[in-house]
Amino acid sequence: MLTARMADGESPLDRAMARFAGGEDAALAEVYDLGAPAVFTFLLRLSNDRPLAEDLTQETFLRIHRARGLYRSGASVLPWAYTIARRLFLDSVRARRPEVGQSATIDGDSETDPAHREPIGQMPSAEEMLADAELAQAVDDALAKIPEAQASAFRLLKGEGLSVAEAAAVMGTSKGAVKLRAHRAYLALRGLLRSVCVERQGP
Amino acid sequence: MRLLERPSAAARNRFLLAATSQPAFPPRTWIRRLVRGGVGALAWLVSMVSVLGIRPDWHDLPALSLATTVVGLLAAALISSLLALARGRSMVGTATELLSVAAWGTPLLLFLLVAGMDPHGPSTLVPAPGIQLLRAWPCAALVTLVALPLVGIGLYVLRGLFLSRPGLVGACLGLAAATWGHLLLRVHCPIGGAGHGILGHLLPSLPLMALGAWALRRRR
Repeated sequence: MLTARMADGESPLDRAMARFAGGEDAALAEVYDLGAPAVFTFLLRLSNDRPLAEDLTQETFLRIHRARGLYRSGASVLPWAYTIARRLFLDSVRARRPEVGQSATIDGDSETDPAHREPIGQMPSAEEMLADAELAQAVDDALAKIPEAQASAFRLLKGEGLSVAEAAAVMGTSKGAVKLRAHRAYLALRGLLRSVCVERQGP
Repeated sequence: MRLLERPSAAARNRFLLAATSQPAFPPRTWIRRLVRGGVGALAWLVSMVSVLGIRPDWHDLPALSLATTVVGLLAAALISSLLALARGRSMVGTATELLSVAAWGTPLLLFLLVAGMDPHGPSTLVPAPGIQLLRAWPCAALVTLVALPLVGIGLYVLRGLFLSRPGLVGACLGLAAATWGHLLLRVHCPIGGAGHGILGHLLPSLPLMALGAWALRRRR
């Protein structure tokens, strides 16, 4: 699923949302299909909890559904969805704080099920996929060890491909603060991932 | 390579089923709210001007300082209203930088305007400083009275919008409402003196900003 912007700045998701906001009820399924994978992946990376990520994805899109009459044509849907998703995740963490960090298991079957993963771009070799998956897991593990604000800034900029301004809107902070948090995340990740990179390079 | 996880088909079906049973704001809700809110706010301000009346020394006031004060207050009220009620490029409100500048910079600029520009003519009442303080409280109450419905209208317009900085937007909304009230009191109140202007007309902005911030944060 591609979430990249079109040449005119509007993504297919934005267009589907504009149609839904304009009264075309059937476009809601398209909005979900185009936006849910990105939001679900974002939530899954944040929570490491598939059922929770599914619930929060559903709630995120229900909020968007309820606000259809407030949508401004041309507005970016994905940063809006990320903002709602991140807030819902933080609220869920506050609501069940003692459990956080102990629910880090992802259903092994579904994780390896190709139906649950969607590659972007040309299909790589199995070795490359394995190496990428290992590195992605190492990055996720490292991101789980740094503060949530820094990890979110990193994920939004590098993982989700948002602009600094969009990430700032999602996080409810200034562009400068997003850059600073992402920079701190880079520094922390560099230290945490050094050993992984040395292992991959071999002796 | 970036891998996207997909929610299960069952989750998709659950969502579509839940969406059919949940009410949604109909198309063009935002426009309707803006029109209703704008008409309501205008009607409220006009009715308050007609009830309170124009200050008796209006024609004695020096044109330059009067125009500067009115234009400055009008600009502050309009800009803070627009920033508070904007949905932003990502539907989560105005950018944090702009909101911060508006919420912190505008009261400072208004303070400088009120302290430095005190339009008064020969028939303007300029009581002694102590009396100015005493006469400030009725004006502060009037500013608050005028502003409270405007805060309510702003909350009505923003209802259902998911804001990334509700506190700042609420503060901006309270500031906008207070500045409209301040402008109205400038037209009505015949008492001069910078102390009176600051305490009676400007100071109510602070509790109204706090109220707006509280209301929007609580609503989330």
